[in-house]
Amino acid sequence: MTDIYQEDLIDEAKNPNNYGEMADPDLVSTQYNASCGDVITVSVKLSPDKLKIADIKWKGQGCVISQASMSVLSEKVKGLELEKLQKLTQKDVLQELGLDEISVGRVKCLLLGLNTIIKLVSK
Amino acid sequence: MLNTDNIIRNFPILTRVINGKKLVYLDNAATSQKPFSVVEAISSYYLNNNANVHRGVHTLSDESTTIFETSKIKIAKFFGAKNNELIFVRNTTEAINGVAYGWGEQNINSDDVILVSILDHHSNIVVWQELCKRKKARLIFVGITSDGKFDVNDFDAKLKKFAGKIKLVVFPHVSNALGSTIDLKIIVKKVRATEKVRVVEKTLRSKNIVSKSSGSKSDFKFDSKIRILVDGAQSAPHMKINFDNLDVDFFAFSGHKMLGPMGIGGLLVREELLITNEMRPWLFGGGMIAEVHESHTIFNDNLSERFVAGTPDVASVAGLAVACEYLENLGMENVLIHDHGLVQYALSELEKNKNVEIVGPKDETRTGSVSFIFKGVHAHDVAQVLDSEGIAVRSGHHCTMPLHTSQKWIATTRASFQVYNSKADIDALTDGLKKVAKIFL
Ligand SMILES: Cc1ncc(COP(=O)(O)O)c(C=O)c1O
Repeated sequence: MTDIYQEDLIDEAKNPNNYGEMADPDLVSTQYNASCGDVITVSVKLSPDKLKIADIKWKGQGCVISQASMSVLSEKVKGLELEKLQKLTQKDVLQELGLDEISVGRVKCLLLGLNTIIKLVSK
Repeated sequence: MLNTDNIIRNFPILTRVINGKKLVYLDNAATSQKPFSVVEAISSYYLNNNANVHRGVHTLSDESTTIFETSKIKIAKFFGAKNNELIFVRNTTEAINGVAYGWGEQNINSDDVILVSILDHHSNIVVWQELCKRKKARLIFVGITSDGKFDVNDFDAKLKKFAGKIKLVVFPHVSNALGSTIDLKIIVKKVRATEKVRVVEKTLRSKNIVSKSSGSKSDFKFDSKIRILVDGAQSAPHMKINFDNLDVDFFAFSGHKMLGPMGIGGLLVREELLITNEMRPWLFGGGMIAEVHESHTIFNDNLSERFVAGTPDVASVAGLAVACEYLENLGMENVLIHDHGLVQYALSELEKNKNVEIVGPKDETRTGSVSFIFKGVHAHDVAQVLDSEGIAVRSGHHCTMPLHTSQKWIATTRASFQVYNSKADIDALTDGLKKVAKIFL
């Protein structure tokens, strides 16, 4: 299972996209991974019609899987319709990361970011 | 130290190969492995003796009842408790809930204080948060020292500050996150001394009231008793417990952490609390009754049976008794020496790694486990790489989120030990950590 630690994955986690805070976000949400203490805060700016993600920033602390998946997700959802965003699944996140599968124990890490964003826009 | 070469042979699972490497199991604080004799006791019960207990006159029912009762006697004796004092539950969590429902519901009132430790496992925190919510009582945390030990000075201060209000004191005998070991004698002495002061005050007050004969009844209810609950989940696997000499009121443990099966554990309750009905059954139904009428029920006089509502898990009780026997044959003194030897060896080996920051006490009081932060790498990633080397450790906050939050630790990695672990397992761990550095740093 260490083959999940491809160099680009570790790089992605170490140099994440869209990392930081937003001056004037429309929505903010923080989620914890209850089993390991990982935490992710996502801030979002919506398009004027409120149907799309205009901009996204996030901050967090956690393992390579949770941080890298949040990083690739933040790229994917920028400009995306909320309706499409809400349909994203585990499979999409794996695909973005270039992984075929993940062990049961790491699913929560993988999905922390996705769950945070979906919860955020469902409010 | 124990002869682990011989012991390993009793644990078939330890021959497993994980990711091409021999399994090195260092997650014993989460759950221990089981010797063959325990598994055999369970399967033998189902293959040969299975029948309900206390309910039939046929031979199998008699056998099953005998197995249940002799096992119970063995387990109670292992813990230095009277047979009546042992209530079977599924695990430590259920034992603690039992104290909340069987004792707390009728003894905790609004404005009462429950003292809890920041070292406590979630199971010994959330249960009391919920009870305090129901009763409008207060939950007060006792802190730790800078080296991760139970802070006795803070405890003293809180005993004083909330004197007269404190009804219950709870803490872990051994912390599952930091291995910090609490000296029960010291804590019990402090609590009982507080009670004495209150008893004197109470006598003076009641005399005063009597002489004025204006006493409101409520003043007489002023109760000096403080009950003590010890979470023994992490001490029972490693040290001799002599419940009747401890002068604590409740002691909770899980069978699965002490070589026994999952699904069985115990709550030890000081007999006096059972006799006086201060502790009542919290589960009702068959087995625990003497008479049932349409209008009311009289509970079983037999204290031992009063707390067994419904069909018990006889096979697991039989398995747990064999686990106790197994530990007894090794000798609990030897088991503790073995554990302390491993802990000290792990501390000294891990300290050599400059990427490792050990959390918790480093002296000889540390029991059961060693936890650390690998600088720059999240605990989950550490554990995943170790798994690729066949090494099982735990990563995360180990169900001690308040502790981790208070110390600003995101997550820690924990190696925890049992009788079958050897220094070679710790060497495997330190080698595995080199691979972690290679991948991430
Ligand atoms: C100190 C402590 N208390 C309570 C528990 C809960 O034990 P169980 O899950 O068996 O109820 C644990 C288990 O991790 C523990 O380490």
